[in-house]
Amino acid sequence: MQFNTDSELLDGCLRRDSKAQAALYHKYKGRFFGICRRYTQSKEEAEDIFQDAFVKVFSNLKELRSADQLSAWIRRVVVNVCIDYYHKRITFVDIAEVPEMAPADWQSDSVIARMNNQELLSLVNELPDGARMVFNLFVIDGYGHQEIARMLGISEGTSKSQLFFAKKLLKKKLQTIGVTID
Amino acid sequence: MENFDDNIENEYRSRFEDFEEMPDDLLWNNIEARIAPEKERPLVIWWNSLGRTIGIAASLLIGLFIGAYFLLKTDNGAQLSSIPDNPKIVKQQKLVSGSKADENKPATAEQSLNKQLTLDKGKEIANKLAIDNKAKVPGLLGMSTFAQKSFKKPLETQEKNNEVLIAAVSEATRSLALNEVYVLNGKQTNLVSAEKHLKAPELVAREIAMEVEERSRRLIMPPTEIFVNVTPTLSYYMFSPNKGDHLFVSDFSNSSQRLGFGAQLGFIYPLARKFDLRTGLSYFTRKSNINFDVTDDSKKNVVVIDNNSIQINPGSSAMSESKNWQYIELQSDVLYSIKHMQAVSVGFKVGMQTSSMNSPLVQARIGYRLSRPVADRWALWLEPAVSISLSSQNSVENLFMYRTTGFGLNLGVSLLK
Repeated sequence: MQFNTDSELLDGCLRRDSKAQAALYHKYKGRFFGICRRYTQSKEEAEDIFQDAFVKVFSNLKELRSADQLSAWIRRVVVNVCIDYYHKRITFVDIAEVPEMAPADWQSDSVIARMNNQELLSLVNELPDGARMVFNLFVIDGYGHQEIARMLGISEGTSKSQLFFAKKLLKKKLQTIGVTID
Repeated sequence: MENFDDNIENEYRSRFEDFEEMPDDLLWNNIEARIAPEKERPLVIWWNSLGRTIGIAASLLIGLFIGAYFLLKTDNGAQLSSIPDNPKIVKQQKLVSGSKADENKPATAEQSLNKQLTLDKGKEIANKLAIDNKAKVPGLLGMSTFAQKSFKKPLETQEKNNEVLIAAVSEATRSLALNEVYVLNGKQTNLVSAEKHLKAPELVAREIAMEVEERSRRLIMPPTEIFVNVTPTLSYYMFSPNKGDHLFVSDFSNSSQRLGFGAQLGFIYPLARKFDLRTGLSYFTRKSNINFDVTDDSKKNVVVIDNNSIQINPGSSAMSESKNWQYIELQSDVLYSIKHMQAVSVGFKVGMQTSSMNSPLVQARIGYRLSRPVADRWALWLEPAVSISLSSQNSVENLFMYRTTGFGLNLGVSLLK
């Protein structure tokens, strides 16, 4: 049987049709493994989270009310599993420990543009857990500080300072690898 | 700086908003194995836990006691009338049927009338028995021969003849009754021999027939109450982490999915004046979702913060375990009547899972039942109850054990005897 639409996929998965489950997985695996890679420090951790997330997706599909929201719903589940995974172990590093850096202008467009995705990703992966979470949630996934604070169980102020801290570290790392920021 | 901030955000957003990376192909096999529906297996009882074994043994023991109680009760009833040499009974029977001692006393008109009626009835029964026994009951042939002989024998006095006739009728009818008991009971009953027939209690035929009827009724003990009930239950868990060299399990949380439901059908039998035995079979289903942290000392994560500092995190991870619980449960408890329509119940439940995912569950329970009659033979009742697990469950990965405490509200309807 062909599963051309999300609606057909959803129906099949709700019937526990293994072909529909496989089709759903293969349709979305790249996109959602990408999310896991952003939130984790290593590929191994990303694989663990990715498996847990998809098990949760298949187990809770009945909660999804409309097939139109399938992709967004899976995305939310994956992000939540990522957060849960790190929730207990997140340590928010005191930003006072990071040396203050002089303000700089963005004059390295061409250098950054030449960096590939994996290089940029590895910079994010190396961020401390708390800073990495907030950076991903705010910058890439588009959540507000209020929502991030609720999701991570922190204050809005902490969320903002962690974002600031994350960008500071990124800047430092970029300088370390030779990107000049004046 | 603002410029840098904006640009780095834009750069990352544009690059990673729809970023894709293909996972290892093997991951799907793992996921597929985890989401595969549980195979339904036949009931499996594991006997590897002392608590469970004790629970099952206790239920068998209680079953045996109940069986023995009713069995002995029935046997006593049967043996009471099958002992012909009991002097007390003989004495009483003689007094009733009119022995030689009675000859000295003048019989009243009413006594004579009763005796005559009994004799008439006795003759009819004796004749019938003589015919029936010849045809149907070879064991009673001697008896019928005796009866025939008795009838043929020249009668010295009318009174003596009557006595013999009553004795024969009583003996034959009683033997027939005992034979019925033998058939129903499946046990060898001491049938009265033909030689001892004169010593047998000489009950009036009608009384004997009633006794036979009463005795056969006693063989099937009807319950005083048949009930059905549903039970919403809130479950709470007590955790005991399994100790390992490198693993530490902590921060258990089971705040979600506490609610389960059971449905039960059962009976209530009287035990003593204020005590009743309640037993029932129920189906119980619930889900559990337990979150916990596992810290693995053998795995550490090292995060480089900058050139001068690193952050070492213990290899901890948040895990969760979800289970579907589906049990067939046998419940037995004793009801002690506090006052009319109110009773305390104390007992136990043994649950056998319908798949082998979970181990058998043995629980002790206590409750308080409040009933209210709603119709002629119907009553509604509710019973808040607490059940405490005597057996423990293992987590799927054997990281911890846990026991369940359930707070249930039984809502039932009973058909009363």
